[in-house]
Amino acid sequence: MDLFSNLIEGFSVALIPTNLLLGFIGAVLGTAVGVLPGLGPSATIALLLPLTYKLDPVGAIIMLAGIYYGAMFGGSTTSILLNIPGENSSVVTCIDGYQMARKGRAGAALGMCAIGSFIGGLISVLILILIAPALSDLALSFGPPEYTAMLLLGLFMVVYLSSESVLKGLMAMSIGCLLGMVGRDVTYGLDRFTFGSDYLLSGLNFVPVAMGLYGISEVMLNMEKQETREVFKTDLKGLWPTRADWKASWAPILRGGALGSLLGVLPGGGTVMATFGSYTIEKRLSKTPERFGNGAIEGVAAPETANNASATTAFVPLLTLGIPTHTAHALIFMAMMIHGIRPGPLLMTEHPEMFWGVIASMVTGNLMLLLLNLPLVGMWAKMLTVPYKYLVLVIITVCVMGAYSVNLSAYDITTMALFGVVGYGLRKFGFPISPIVLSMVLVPNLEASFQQSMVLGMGDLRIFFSRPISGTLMALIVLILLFPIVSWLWNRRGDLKKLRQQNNSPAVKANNL
Amino acid sequence: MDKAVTWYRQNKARIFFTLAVPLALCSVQRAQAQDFPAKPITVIIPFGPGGHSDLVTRPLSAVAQKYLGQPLVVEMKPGGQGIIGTEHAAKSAPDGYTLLATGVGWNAALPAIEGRSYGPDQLEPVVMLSEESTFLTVRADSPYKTLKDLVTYVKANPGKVTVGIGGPYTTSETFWRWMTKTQGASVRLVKFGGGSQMMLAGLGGHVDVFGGSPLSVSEQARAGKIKPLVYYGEKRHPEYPDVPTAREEGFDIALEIWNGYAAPKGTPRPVIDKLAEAIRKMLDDPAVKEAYKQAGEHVTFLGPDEYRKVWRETYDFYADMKGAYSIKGIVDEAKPAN
Repeated sequence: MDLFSNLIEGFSVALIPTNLLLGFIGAVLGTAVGVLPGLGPSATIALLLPLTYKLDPVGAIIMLAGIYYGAMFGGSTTSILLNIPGENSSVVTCIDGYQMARKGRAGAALGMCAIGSFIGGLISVLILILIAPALSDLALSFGPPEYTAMLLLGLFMVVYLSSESVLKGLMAMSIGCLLGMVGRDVTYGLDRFTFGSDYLLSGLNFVPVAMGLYGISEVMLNMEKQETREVFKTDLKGLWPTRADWKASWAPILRGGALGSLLGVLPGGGTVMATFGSYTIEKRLSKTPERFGNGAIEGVAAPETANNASATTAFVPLLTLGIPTHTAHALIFMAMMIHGIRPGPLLMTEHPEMFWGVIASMVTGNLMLLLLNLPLVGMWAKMLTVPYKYLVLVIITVCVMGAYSVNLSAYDITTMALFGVVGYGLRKFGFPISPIVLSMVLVPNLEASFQQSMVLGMGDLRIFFSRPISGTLMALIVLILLFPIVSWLWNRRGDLKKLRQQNNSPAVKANNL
Repeated sequence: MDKAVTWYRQNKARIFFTLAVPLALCSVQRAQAQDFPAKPITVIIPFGPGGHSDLVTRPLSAVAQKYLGQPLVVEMKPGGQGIIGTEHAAKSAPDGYTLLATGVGWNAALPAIEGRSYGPDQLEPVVMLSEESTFLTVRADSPYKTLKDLVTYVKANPGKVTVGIGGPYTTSETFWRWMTKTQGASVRLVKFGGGSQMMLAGLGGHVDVFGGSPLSVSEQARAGKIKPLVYYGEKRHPEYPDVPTAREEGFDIALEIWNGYAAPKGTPRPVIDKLAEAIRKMLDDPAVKEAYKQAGEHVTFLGPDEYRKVWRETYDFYADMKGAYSIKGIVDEAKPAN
């Protein structure tokens, strides 16, 4: 039992009291920065890197990894309470999470998030232990055509997120696509929509745009209401998920965990895809899809589980191949080197204590996160009993700080204010916000992979259909696109039959056609 | 006479200030070099954390207090491929309290090719810290054993080989642009948003040729996954004595990526000298040496004047290459040198 001995070795490292403590510190810090939008895990790891010089290598990495998945754990809090997604992976949580909070069920949403995240963490660690090499093969088998197909599929799923009209969803997606194209294109080096400004050269930043579209516009919408906004009446008895919530959520949590674990290994959109992919799947599978968007607990549980599961497997390229695919991982890579360990394909065999120790620490870390976050649920939920006129100040402060802290740039605050106004206008006309933000996140990757595929395929679109993975995904897209047309035609055929029966006059028939 | 005395009495303060202020300013400037630094020095890194500038600056900022009497504060100003931070530093007061972490991309290639960002004429070089190049690599099972093999194949089959590029104006892009310009060897350049994505695509077999820094190549090569064919630097890399340089393989090109520090234009020379001297001493500090060794970093120290020369040469090289970067189609039109 090689696997078993590896695991025992891993836990024997992870359960050393110092490592437990370091994992705890990392998890606490991670939750804290996850709750505050803006200052992400990368900036925190960068700040703490010098502190790890004196630690032993495994302990240092355990702490830094804790910050990373702790931040993913905490990311949903502002989404649920204030409708402000701090990271792109918690955008989907806003949809139903915030609705639950409005209905006085913030506690249930937060509690389910914590539990779902914990289970997601466990599922992904289990998958990581069982099939880490297969997961790294999956990461390698995705070339530009596969990414293109996956992200294109994602773009179509984004439209389904909006509960209102599909047309408005499509329009919102298109706006998001245009926003995502701002900046320099990777292949030709052409500047688009930059108006000669250097600030826009590297594209729009997610955080200021999201802070504006969600946070600021929400404040504006609430301010115009003259009557006192209904205080979120949080029933302290209803703080925990009910039996019905559990019944609705257990299967979505398992599915979300599995999907998140798989997509997490794919850099460039994997995590985001996992969140709204699992949301879409649950909405499709649900017997009552109309509840989604109005505070369905599955709509919180599934994406949050997927998010946390993907945060774990996102370590696969770093741990099994030695390739950091996220800024936070690049910093962990740096930390390993400072301790004299060069991560690479040989890490697993030459430094098993590092590899298995870090993986085992994810189990203990996730458990600590759960124990840490559950008591906080009550505190967060109580925050909503603060009168809105005071809460507004908190929201605006959080938004301004979040936007500024990403790049320490005042331009970002201006961007946020601008998108606040844009978001206000869009919401007044009933446009859903999440398709805008999500397609803005997906498009830069989609565009780059499409261009890369075109170079690889000499400009021939057949490259997408001739490779197994991208071909399958493309077939899926075609099916999704054809399905409404076929069903529309089918219904229309029935309508036509009825019409023919009603009147046999050729003139009327021609008119109807 | 009386009038004059009254005038003097009335305007005593004014006269005193008109005379004293320039005098005081003179002495301030002299004192500036002597007392420099009197407050913390900020190093602006025009990228986010985890990059190469971050890697070389971190160990220095840890020991700076010992050699400068003041701390070295790192400020990350990412955005616009390094232009945002560069501009911020270049427009700061030229008093030596703001330095810019310089690099080839944002201080030579971008200004020379696009007229963006700030080049050697708009900044004062302080020191060069490191100089490194990158490798051209192929997968271990690739049919190409040497660069010559590869180039022979490329010339016989224009546009057939795909080359992964990790970003704009990187050494590998420049190398292949140069090959097309001077040798008429054209490949298809597949551009990725970063070195990691390129390496993943290379390992996964999605591109034929790729590359990477000594750091990102080392473990992959040691595990037998990839083969470095050539080093683009002036000399062979000390950790890879068997990998030839491009020059040795018969291609007259050497590409170095340097990192250093620069000050805003107009910073007094004595201040720059003082900084350069302090940084030179920092590089000899055992803690810095150890940190660089762990990170696989090789120090190449150059003072302000030598660094200015190198910077100028790099800038001129990219200015020469300017026309070679524009692509019209998927495959570069091969225009052999006449």
